[in-house]
Amino acid sequence: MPEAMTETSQPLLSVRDLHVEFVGRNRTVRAVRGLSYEIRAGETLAIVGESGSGKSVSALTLLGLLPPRTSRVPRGSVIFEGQELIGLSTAQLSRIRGARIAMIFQDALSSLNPVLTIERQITEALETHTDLTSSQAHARALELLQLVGIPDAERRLKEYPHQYSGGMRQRAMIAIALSCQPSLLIADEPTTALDVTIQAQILSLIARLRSELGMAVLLITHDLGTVAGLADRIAVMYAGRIVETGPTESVLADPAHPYTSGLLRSLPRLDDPRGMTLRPIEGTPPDLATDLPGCPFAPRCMWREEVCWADDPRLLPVREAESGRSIACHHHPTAEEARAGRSLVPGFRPADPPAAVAEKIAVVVPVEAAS
Amino acid sequence: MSIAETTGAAAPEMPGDLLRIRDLRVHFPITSGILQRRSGWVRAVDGVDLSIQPGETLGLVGESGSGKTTIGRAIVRLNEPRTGTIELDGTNLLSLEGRELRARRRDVQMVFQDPYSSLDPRHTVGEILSEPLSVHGLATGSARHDRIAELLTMVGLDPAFIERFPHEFSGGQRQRIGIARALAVEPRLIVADEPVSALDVSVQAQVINLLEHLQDRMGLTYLFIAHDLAVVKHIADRVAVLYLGKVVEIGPVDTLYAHPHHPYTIALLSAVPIPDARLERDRKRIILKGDIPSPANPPSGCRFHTRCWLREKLGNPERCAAEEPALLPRPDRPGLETACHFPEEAAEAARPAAPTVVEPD
Repeated sequence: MPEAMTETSQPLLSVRDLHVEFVGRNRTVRAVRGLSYEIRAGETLAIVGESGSGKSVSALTLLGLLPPRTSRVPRGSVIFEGQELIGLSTAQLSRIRGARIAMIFQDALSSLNPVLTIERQITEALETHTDLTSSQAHARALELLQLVGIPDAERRLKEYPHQYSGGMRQRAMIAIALSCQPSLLIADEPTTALDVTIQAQILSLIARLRSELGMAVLLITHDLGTVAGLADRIAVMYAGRIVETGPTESVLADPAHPYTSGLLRSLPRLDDPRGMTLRPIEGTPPDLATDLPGCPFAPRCMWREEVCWADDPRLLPVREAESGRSIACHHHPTAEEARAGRSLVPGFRPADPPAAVAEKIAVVVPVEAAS
Repeated sequence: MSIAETTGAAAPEMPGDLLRIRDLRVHFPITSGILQRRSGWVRAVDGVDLSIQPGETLGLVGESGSGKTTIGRAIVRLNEPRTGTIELDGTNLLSLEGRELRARRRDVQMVFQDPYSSLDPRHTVGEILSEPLSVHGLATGSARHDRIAELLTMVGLDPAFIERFPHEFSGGQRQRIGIARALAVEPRLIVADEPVSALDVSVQAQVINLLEHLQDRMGLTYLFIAHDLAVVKHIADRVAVLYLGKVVEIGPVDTLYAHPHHPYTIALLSAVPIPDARLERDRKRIILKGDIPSPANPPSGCRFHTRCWLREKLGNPERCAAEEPALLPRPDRPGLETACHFPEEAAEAARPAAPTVVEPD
């Protein structure tokens, strides 16, 4: 299998029009509905979204980790290092998993094997994917534990996961993930279960390892704060696809999509002046088992027009051509409107849904209009 | 309740406090062997004093093992403290038993973190909200249905949902039901233990706004327990920072966030990420070494000394490991109290100009 297909012009990972469905007895949930993105070698992309946005499902799909009986990928392509991953057999995928693409999860305790020592769990990956001898593997395991900042590594190698604290388990999981020098690390909510001081340790560890080892990182998270310090680019997911993408700094400073700006407005920030009122996005995300003819965010959107109920917008460039910014939106707010949380055009009212839609879903009406 | 009825209070009566906690210690036994012999104690809460005024929100922050949840649970008597008093309006809740205790339980209600496991899945919303009313003999007969409808409206739910089951609701809606259940008996104090941390960002803001709105409307008093310092800054009037079962710093929100004097508070605040890439790049971050020590075997002297960046900076003074610092008022910062031997040095080092990035990695 050719390993060095990555030319500079070609992305490391390219996901095209990916669809993932979960098939139940009476309903099919379309968890991912046409997801496309790319990651270049050494780059960090953050996929941000709330529960049910499809952010984790899309990552599990890359590694073929979805439950085989209840899920399917009806459409889409995932090209990693020049190779199509969709449709590969389990045996073929397992040569890539852990070796070229590694993954770390939110919950280190349940991701580690409780009955094997940490050393065994690291060397297991090395034996599967490399030709190292057992003494070489031991030396490599020791080196990895030291790399991730576990003190007294020689002794710690012989211990079991339950003897580690939460932060150390996360470090051990990172050591296992790095054992075969992957070119892509997928980090799914890597610090969500950790205390804030430990979270800071792990984030600085990931940032350091990324630059030392030159890996690309796909960071999946709900936490926009984590993204700000770590990611080069950000992709915001809503209802199974990307609604906004661009360089992290510019998206966070000047969100263009109504959902992104709504998320940022609802987030309490440490540097907010006290007494500032949060402006949550009212309503709830759509049920992905029903048909969504228009924009999935329309029922909660304060800028919606007639077209938003009928036509699902595509992800298209926004702002200046060279900004690298795109959104999927028919009528997006200006920067002032995004801050205000509503349209500033006099007399503007979010469009009412067509009668057939109004029966089925709850639509958020702006406070001014409701009173 | 008059002063004469006060039980077990050692400190002088200070009118104005709704809740007063004095020298609270909650220790859990560690047992070992087949005979379950006690071999030690986990000192989850180890000498805490707190007070809350009516209508106030006190934020309780700290990491796992700090004892913040244990304090909340002690107030509603879900665990039994070893020593100390918890007075509500001058009555020591810890000395109450039987009927008196049951009657008083109405005054303090709890909202839990997990809206999925804190509601009985086999009961309808109507039955869930009916239970506390029955226990306390409130809104009986035909008034019951109206009261439940009123409670649902109060928390922003459609009263038509009364016959539905918890699984038919989203996480945010379930948390609203949990809040309605707490409000049903018209409590004086609500202990909210991480009430928004299981919720998505947009829903979290809805619930925070609801809690603030209810407080304004009904004059509620909150003990708000959370690990998220940004959320606490938003909702609290005063904040207590806990570390290994002790309050290390307490004060008005504005003062504590702007002028922290305890090295732990300073590190905590510096570790909270802000969703602004430019700010994050230039921010000074103090990354603490190691993990939180076990509360079964807390460090000597100042409990924070094993992880303290300031102690290291000051050349490891003996005093930190030998002598436990008392929680003392900062003369120049009204309302702020800090338990550190070197609070001025800490505040000085935390000032934006001073270069003190400590990076163990």
